[in-house]
Amino acid sequence: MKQQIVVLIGFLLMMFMIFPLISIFDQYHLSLKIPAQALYVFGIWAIAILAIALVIIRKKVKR
Amino acid sequence: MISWVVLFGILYLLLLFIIANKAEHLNRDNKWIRHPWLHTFAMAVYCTTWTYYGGVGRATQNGLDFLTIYIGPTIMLALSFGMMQKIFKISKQLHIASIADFISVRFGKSSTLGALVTVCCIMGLVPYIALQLKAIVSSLEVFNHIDLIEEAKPTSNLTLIAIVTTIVIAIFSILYGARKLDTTEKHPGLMAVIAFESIFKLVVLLAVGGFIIFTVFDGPGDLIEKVSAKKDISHLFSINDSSGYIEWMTMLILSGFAIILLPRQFHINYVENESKSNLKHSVWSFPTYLIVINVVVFPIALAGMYFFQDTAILPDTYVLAIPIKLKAYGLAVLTWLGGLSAATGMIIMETIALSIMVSNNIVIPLFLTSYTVRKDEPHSNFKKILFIRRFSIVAILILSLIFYILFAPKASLVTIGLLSFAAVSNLAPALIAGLYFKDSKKNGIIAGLCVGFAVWMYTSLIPQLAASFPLFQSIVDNGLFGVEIFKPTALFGVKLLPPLANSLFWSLGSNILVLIIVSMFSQKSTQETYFSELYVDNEKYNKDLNLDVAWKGRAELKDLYLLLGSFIGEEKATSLIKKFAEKNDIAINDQLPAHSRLVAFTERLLGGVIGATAARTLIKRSTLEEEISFREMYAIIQENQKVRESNRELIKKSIALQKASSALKRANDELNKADQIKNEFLYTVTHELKTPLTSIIALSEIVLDNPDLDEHTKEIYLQSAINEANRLAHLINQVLRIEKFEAGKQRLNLSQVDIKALIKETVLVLESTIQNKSLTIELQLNNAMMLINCDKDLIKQVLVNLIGNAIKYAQNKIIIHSYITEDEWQIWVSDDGKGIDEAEKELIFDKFFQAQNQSLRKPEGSGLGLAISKKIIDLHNGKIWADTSKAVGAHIVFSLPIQIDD
Repeated sequence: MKQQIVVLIGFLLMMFMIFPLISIFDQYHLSLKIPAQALYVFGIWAIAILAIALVIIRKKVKR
Repeated sequence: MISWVVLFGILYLLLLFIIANKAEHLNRDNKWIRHPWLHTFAMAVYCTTWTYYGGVGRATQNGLDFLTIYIGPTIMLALSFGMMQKIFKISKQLHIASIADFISVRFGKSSTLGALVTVCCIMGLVPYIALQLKAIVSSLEVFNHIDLIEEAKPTSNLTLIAIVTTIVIAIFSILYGARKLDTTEKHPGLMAVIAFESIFKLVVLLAVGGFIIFTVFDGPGDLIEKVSAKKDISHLFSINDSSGYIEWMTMLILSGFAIILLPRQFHINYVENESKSNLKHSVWSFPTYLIVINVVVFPIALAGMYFFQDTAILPDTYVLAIPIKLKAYGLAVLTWLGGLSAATGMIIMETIALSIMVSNNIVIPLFLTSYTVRKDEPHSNFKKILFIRRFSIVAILILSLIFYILFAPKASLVTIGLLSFAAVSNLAPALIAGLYFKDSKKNGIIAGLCVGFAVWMYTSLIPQLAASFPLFQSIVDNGLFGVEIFKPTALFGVKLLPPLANSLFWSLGSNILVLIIVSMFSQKSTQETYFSELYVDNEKYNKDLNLDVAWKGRAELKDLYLLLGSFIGEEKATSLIKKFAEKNDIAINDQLPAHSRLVAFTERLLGGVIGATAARTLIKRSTLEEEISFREMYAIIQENQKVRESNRELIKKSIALQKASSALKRANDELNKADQIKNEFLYTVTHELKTPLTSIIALSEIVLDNPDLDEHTKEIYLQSAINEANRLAHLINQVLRIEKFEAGKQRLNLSQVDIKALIKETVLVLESTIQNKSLTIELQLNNAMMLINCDKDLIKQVLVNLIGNAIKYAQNKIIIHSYITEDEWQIWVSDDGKGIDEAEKELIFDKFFQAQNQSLRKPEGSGLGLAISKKIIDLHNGKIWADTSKAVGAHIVFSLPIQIDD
C-alpha cells in the first residue's frame, strides 16, 4: 500500500510538472515579490517531497 | 592568488584522504557507516559542477529549466519505488557489481552485452568526467581574470593542475576503491568521503547564496526588483518563453533516467548500499537535498546578471565571480573548494564504477583463460585482477584527460552533461525489459542498444564535436552523404524538436523498436530463460534462497578448489566450498565429480571477484559443461519454488509451535502457582485448626487431671474449651463456605431486599459487641428504600464481616453510609482505627491475610472474612475495595448493581 501511495505521489508530481498544468502560472507575475512560476515549481516540488516523507516515515513509526 | 587557492585545494584533498582512512578502520557495524543519511549524501554525488557552475549559467539563459535536472530524479525515485527495491534484491542475490553486470546476467550472462553496455557508458561519461576537470581548472582562472572575456585554451600551468588533480584522484580511487578483490565488498572510506563532499558543497553553496541574498541584497524580493529594473528578466520565469515545454519535458525524462542508470548512482544504491531501508529513506531524503541545494541557484544567477551585465564574464562562473568582485575572498576560496568537491566526488565515483565494468566485462573476459590459472602460484590471479582493476581506473582517467586537453576548450559543461544523460538513457529499454518482460531476448537488447547508441552519437555527439571536425560540420549542415533527410538535428525532415529532444526521441525510439522486432525473431537460451524467470518473477524467490544457476556437466572438485583458490587463496576457497556443501547437505568426495550445485556456487563466488560474465566464461573453459535443456532448467526452478514454499511452511509451523510452547509454559506456570496457593492454604488451614484443638485438648486434660480444681476454675476452663470449640467450628464453616464459592457450587437466592433495613438488622445483632467496646455507630443512609435484587443471607454475611472488622479496629466510632449512582449502590463501612496501608489494600482480600501492623497478640478472627465477602460480592457482579485516600481509619466499600442477572 505504501509503495502504491508513493508511486501515486510521483505520478501526480509528474502531472503537475508537465504541460499543460505547468503552463498555469507560466507568465511573469510576482506573488509575494517572487515570480509565480518559481513559487509554483518549488511549492509543488516541496509538497510532493513532504507527502512522500510522511508516507514513509509514518509507516515506520506505526510499525 | 591562484597559488593560495591551489594550496587550499591540496589541503582539502589531503583532508579527504584522512577522512577515508579513518572511516575505513571503523567497525562494519558502526552506526555512522550504516546511517541512512550517509547513503543519501553519497547519492548526492549526482550533483556535480553542473549544479555549481552549469546550473547558474543555464539559469541566466533558460530560466527555471535547470530545475528539471533535479525534479526528474524526484519523480523517478517515487515512480520506480518498487522497481528499485526489486533491483536491490536481485543485485544482492546474484552478487551484482555494476549495471553492466545486472543487464548482462539477465540475458544469460552475455559477455558481448556486458562489453557493449560498458562501451556505451564509457563513451557517454568520459566526456563528462573531462568536463569536470575543466570546471576545476577554469574556475581557477576566475581568480586571476575577473574580466574574463572568452574561454582561453588551457595554459600549460592549468593543464599541469589538471594532470596533478587527475593523479591525486587516481591514487585515491585505487587506495579506497580498488584494494579489495571482491567488487561487491563495501568501501566505507570511499562512502564517507563522498558523503562529506556532498555536505561540504551544500553548505558552501547555501553560504554563498545566503550571503548574496541577505547581505548584498535585502532578500529575494529586493534582488528580483533590482535585477528587473536593470534588465528584462520576465522571459526567464516563463518556460514557454525560455526553453520551451518540449525541452523542459525532455530534461525531466533524461534526468529521471540518469538517477537510475548512471553507473555511479547504480554503484551507490545497489553495490555499496547494504540496506533496503536506505533506499526507502532516500526516496524523500535525496529530493530534500536536491531542493535545498537549488534554492539559491537562481538568485545567484540573477545577482550575476545584476553585477556583470554587459560584461563578458561567463555566467557559469558567476558563483565565484560575485564573492571575488565583492572582495569576499575567503568565501570565494570556499566556493572554489565546493566546486572542487562537486567535481572530485563525481570523478572518483564514476571512475571506480566504470573501472569495475571495464575490468569485469572487457579486460578479464578477454585475457583470463584457464591457461592463465597457474597451478603453482595460488595468488597470481589475485594480483592480476587487482592490477587490471587499478589499470582500468588509470586508463579511464587518462582517457578523460586526453578528452579534456583536446576538446574541452570548445565543449560546454551544460551541454556535455545533458549528452551524457542522453547516452545512458539508452540503457533504459534493456533495464526495464529485463525486469518486466520475459519475452525480451539478448539479441534484441544488443541490437536495440547498438542502434540506439549509434543514433545518439549521430544526433548528439556529432553536432557537439562539429566545431572541432570539419567532416562532422559538413554532416550537420548537409546531412550524411549530403542527403538532407539525414541531417542529425532534423532527422527524416522532422524539425519540430529542439536538438536534445530530437536526439532522445530518435535514439530511444529506434532502440525500443529494434529491441521488440529482433526479440520477436530470436530464441532464448536456457540460461536466459532461467534468469528471465528470476528477474521478472523475483517476488516468488526468497532473498536468502539459493539462486545458483542450474549447471550440468562434469567437474572435478580439485579443479574448483584450484580455480577459485587462484583468486582468493586455496585454503579460503576450500573452506567456503566445504561450508556451502555442509549447509546444503551435499556430500563431498574428492574421488567423485563435484556436485552441480558446488560448481554453480563456485561460479557465483568467482562472479563477485571477476564479474558474472567472466566467471561464466572461466567455468565453461575449466569444466566439461553440457547444454542443459529447458525442461531440466524448469524443473530446477520449480524445485526452488517448492523449497521456498516448504521453507515458508516450516517457518509458519515453527512460529505456531513457539506460540503453543509459550502458551503451555504460561499454563504450567499458572498451574504451579495455583498448586502453591493450594499448599499454602492447606498449611494455613491446618495451622489455624490445630491451634484451637490444642487449647481444647489442653484445657480438657487439666480439668480431667485435676479433680480437686474448684468449680469456678473448672467453669472458666470449660468455658474456654467451649469458646475454642466454637471458634474451631466457625473456622471450619468459613473454610467450607469459601471452598463452596471456589468450586462454583454457591448459588444466589435472589430477592428484592431493602439494604437499609438489612444494615439496621445487622447492627442490632452486633449491638452488644459494639456497646461492650464503648463504640458509637452512625448510619448515614438515604431516607428512601434501598431496594436491591440480591441474596439476603449472603449480603448480611458481608455486612457482619465488615462491621465486625470495624468493631475490631475502631477506637471510638463506626460510620456506615451509602451512595447511589446511575446503576449501583455503594455501601461504605468506615472506622477510626489504624487504617489500611496502601500496599495492603489488595492483599487484605486474600485468604488468611491479617494486616501487618497487628499487635503481637494473635489477631482475632479467622482471616477469611474479607475473602468470603469478596467472593459474595463478586458473585453478585459487584465490587469490593479498600479506600485508602482518607487520612484516618479504614474504609471498606462494596457496590452492588441495581439489577443483577440470575
